[in-house]
Amino acid sequence: MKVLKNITYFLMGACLLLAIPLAHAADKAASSQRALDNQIQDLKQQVLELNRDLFLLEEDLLFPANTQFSVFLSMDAGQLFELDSVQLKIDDKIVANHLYTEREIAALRRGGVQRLYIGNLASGKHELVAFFTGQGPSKRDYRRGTTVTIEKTTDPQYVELKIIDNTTKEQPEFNVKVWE
Amino acid sequence: MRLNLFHHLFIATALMLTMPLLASADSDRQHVVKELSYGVALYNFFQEKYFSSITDLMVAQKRQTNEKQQFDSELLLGGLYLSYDLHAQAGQVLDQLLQADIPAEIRDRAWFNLAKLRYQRGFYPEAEQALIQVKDSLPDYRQAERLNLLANIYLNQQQYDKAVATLKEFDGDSSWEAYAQFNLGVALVKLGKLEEGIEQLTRVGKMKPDSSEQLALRDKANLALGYAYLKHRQPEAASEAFNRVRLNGALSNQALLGVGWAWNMQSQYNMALLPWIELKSRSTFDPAVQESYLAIPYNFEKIAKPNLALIYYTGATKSYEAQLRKLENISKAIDGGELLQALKPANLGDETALSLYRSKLPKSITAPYLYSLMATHEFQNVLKNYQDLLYLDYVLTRWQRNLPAYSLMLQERRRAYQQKLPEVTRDTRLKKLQQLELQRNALADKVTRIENNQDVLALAAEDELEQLAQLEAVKRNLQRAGKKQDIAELRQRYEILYGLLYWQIADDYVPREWQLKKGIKELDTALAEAQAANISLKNAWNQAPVSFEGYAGRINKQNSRIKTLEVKVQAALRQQEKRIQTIARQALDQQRRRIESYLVRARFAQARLYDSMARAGEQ
Repeated sequence: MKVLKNITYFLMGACLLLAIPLAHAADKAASSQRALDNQIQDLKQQVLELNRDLFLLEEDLLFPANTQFSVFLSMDAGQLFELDSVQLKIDDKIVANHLYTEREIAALRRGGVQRLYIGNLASGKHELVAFFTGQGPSKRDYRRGTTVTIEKTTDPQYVELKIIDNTTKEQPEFNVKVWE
Repeated sequence: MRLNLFHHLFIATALMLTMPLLASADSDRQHVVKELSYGVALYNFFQEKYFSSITDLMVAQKRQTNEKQQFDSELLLGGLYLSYDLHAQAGQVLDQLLQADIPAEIRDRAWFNLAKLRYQRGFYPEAEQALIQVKDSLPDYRQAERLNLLANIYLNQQQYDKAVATLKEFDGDSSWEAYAQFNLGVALVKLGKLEEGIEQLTRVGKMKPDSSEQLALRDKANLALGYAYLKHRQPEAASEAFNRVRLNGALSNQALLGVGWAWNMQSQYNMALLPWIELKSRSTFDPAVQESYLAIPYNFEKIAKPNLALIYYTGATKSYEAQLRKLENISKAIDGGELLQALKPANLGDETALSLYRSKLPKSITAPYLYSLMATHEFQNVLKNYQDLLYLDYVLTRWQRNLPAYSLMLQERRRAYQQKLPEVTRDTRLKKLQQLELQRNALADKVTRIENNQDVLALAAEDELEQLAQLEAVKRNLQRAGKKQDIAELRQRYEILYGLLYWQIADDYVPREWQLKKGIKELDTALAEAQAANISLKNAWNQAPVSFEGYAGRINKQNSRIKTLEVKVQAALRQQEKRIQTIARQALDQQRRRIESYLVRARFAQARLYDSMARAGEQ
């Protein structure tokens, strides 16, 4: 019986001895994982900063301020119109076509604004036409166009296409706002 | 045969605890947008494109295009950093925001986000302090989330009484309340406070769910409840809880196993066989199914059917051996990179798809074996970091591909400039502007002179000038003839005609003078525009070489930044891949050890049965 007890103590001791380096190895692994996690966070921040700088460079280079022209799209509650797609023409030339996903529509309904187009325009008068396709009231197919003439100056110009529910008329409205 | 209750209880609870702590731009209402750039950042944020949304806000900050919504933008940025696991940056932005003079609504939301951040980092008393700062401007739909957070803070500090008191503050049905109740229930059961824990879990286990998320939560509550009852030897109550788990849900296998054990505990061995035999027909890589292979013959032994028990033990042995071989193959597949390949999203360009991709099991042969591992918070974090790194790599590669095109474009512009420069400098039209200005000045002097001298006739029209010339000729003739004859009558007629013409011109003097001045003003405008265009052109041509150099410098600088980061991202990716493979192998080893232990038990039982049958034959 005494022998058995001794063996038990020996085994327990051996287990404890084994456990110490094991615990040490686990600590080391956890700390190297933490270091890697921190390194990843650091890399994310660095790539974000680089992405910002490259984005600025790209915009400055491709769309200089004096010719830059952007078109945005937004919508309010969107109860009277289910947007499927938008086509944008400038001076009778198609410059953008966009087919919307459910996620994009949900993002627009919550107040998000989509940058539909960015390009260059010479100073002077230009005609902008947008066609909206989707489902109108009573789920009927709906296609509507809106036209606006804009006077491009040497400053960057921003135009917002807004889809609004006109609850009085029970019809969607497509407005154009030129941002100053 | 002993039921491993702790293991099952752990599995039942491992998947719960946290609902996602989203950034604080309240996702379920329409936001007021006063700045387009803020709206664009929101558009990306709502699609969970955190990287793009943060970039939008950083660009807007640099260009100062979010001035009308500066505080909203900073609050959103803080929340985005939180969602993108950049905790230090989130803390910095929120702390800075809270030092500014901001409206109460933004202040409350900032404190709320800071509380979430501190909670995520495990600073519970600090998180509680931040929540105390939240006053009453938080929208109603955020209140339940706030209470859930507070309850979790108390749970993590083992302040159960406070957590229970917090639960009483919930108003109406809410997913947040169910989560809080569930977490509290599990914590209390683990602590041995069975009665109180069961009370909480039963509420969740009996709730009427209105979403798939709530259904899953109800299943989890009932499973945890069932095993808690079993642990405290209350098999009837356990059965009742297990029976509330959906038969086709993700937790049905564990529930079936539990029901069997509940019958077994009541010595209803035949009844126990029913759920276990159903379980045996399911996938063999599920631990509950694996356990049923041993539980069935164990029950046959209990009802004195050793032959049947032997058949089932033999079947179990074969099945375990086959599973061990499969695990060996799966392990080889992990070493060969099959799992890593499956964890890579097919289209990294679609940032929206990344979070969706994470919410599904990867298409890997390892997935059924690593299901439990993949559902853990730890694995999800490791996977998220891995996919974030893959996305960073994608972004760097895309820029690396684009930059040479920009350099080329710049070279082309420089070449065109050098070609056109001599043409432009030789263009005589540019010199004409000076002449035109001299002419304009002469004209303006003339107008001033007319005005000063009230020189009415200077404003005569062409036909009037002709008439004036004729009258002048008449006057000269009259002067010559006057010496020879009496021409008083003719002279009088001349005077009348001249007077009439003068009166006509004088009468129209004011409008004519105004018209002239207006003409000069228009000329001034046109000249000023031409001058501005000329200056702008000259500046552009003069600055072009500097601008080319500026762009070239920027491109080179960014190019070297890309290269440096690319090396670092690649190194981190390799380390993260190693980490995933290690975790996966560890999970497989755990399974292998469990199956080996089942196999030993099955073989031992087989030997024991053969032995006792042989002995019975001898007798």
